[in-house]
Amino acid sequence: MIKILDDLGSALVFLNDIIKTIFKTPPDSKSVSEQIYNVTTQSLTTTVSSGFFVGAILSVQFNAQLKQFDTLSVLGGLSTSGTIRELGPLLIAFMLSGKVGAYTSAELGTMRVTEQIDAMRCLGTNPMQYLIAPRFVGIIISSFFLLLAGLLMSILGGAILATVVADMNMVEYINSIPTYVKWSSVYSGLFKCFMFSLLIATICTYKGYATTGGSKGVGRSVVATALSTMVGLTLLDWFTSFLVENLFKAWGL
Amino acid sequence: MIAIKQLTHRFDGAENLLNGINVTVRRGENLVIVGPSGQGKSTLLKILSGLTAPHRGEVLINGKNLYKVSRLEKTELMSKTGMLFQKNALFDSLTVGENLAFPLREVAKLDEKKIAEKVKEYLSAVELGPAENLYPDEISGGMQKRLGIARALILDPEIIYYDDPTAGLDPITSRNIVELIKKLNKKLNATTVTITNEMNRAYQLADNIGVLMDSELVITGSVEETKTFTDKKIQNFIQGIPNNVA
Repeated sequence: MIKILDDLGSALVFLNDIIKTIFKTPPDSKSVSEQIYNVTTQSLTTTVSSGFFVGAILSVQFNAQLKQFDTLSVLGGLSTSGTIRELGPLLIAFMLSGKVGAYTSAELGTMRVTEQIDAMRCLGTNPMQYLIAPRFVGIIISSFFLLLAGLLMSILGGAILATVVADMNMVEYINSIPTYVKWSSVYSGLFKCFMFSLLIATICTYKGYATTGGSKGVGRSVVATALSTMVGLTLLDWFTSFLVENLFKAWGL
Repeated sequence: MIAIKQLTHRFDGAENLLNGINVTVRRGENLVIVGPSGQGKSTLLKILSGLTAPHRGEVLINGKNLYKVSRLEKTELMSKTGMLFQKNALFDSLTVGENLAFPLREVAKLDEKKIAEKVKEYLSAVELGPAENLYPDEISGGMQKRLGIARALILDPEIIYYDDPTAGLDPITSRNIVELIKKLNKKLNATTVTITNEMNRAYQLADNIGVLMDSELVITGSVEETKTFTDKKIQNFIQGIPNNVA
């Protein structure tokens, strides 16, 4: 328990350092663009395909339930609401964290154990500014848009499966969406996407940067990144759902 | 000038690796530290270069305590030093030329024309001109070492640290590397601290020799003084005689 708290504290100090570095000396747009390009090209296929199937799965599940009560007309709304508010961001973020998180922590971890980060410091460069900040900003921006792309694909996946499995008219499916998907659901989904992006970027850069112990250490960091991100995303999902529900209630949305 | 005062260091839960070390390296002096493996030589170099904070004691670079100055001052002090790492620590995603251009672009902030000129100059000094566009894993161990030396020196540092510069090299390449280091040190008139396990290389490079043994650094003096140093344990190490042999 103490180790977990110690690790959490170190990660928060690390996040504080990154934010300070970004505000003091913003990373140059070329490095950030490079990171956005790398992350997006690596993960676009994974996120959109997993998004498609998340929507499809929900559509199939709701179809089975709703058929019993002869209420198939609300399939589009229920399926999309569940996708946008809960399962979509979480499951797509899992897929994304597996890809981006593992890649980034392995890359930074290898640089750490081969002393490339120490060499940078010795040359008078700040690795936080040169290495971490562009990755952090790049991962947040690209993850956010990848999650959004995944969510849009999940709506499409749900709609297509509804027409195939439930013999539903696509227009009928889409028309039922606004009945259950209010703007609050969209804001909630967007907020979750941002928070999940922030979490993935923090954990993978922190775990990679703090790697010790040679090639075994890199392996440990990658595993720790995957594990911490999954647990972190689940807890954050619960927390953001709770927060968003209460905030929206308070704001009358 | 480098001054170390009462430096003590240990890893968590272990006994002192370095215990009350005091040494001064004058400007332009070449100090070589030798000693058995696992005695903390590389750790000492990491402390000197600003990478690892010591448990106790002071490291003064030109009179400024490396671990008491502000972050900005520390970065400035570190940019005046160059370091060759034992395993070179080359940037593996950058080409040979880009490895040299990196500090010129990111630290010295030179314009691209000057960067290209300086990269050419240093590549030619370490005879790596034809390898400019290759990646570090595409060149030999000796070439990687020469690239590491060129990168450590490209910002014209006042102080240079060499962590076992001939480790893993064949005797001829090893001799060539030492000659290259001597030539470049002379050109820069730099203060250097070198770590090695090979006494012959130490004799080639040193103005002054220190032996790190049993957590303490004993300055044995010049090459001649070291060869005639009276302490039996140190003599045994220098001559490669195990201590349990009478």
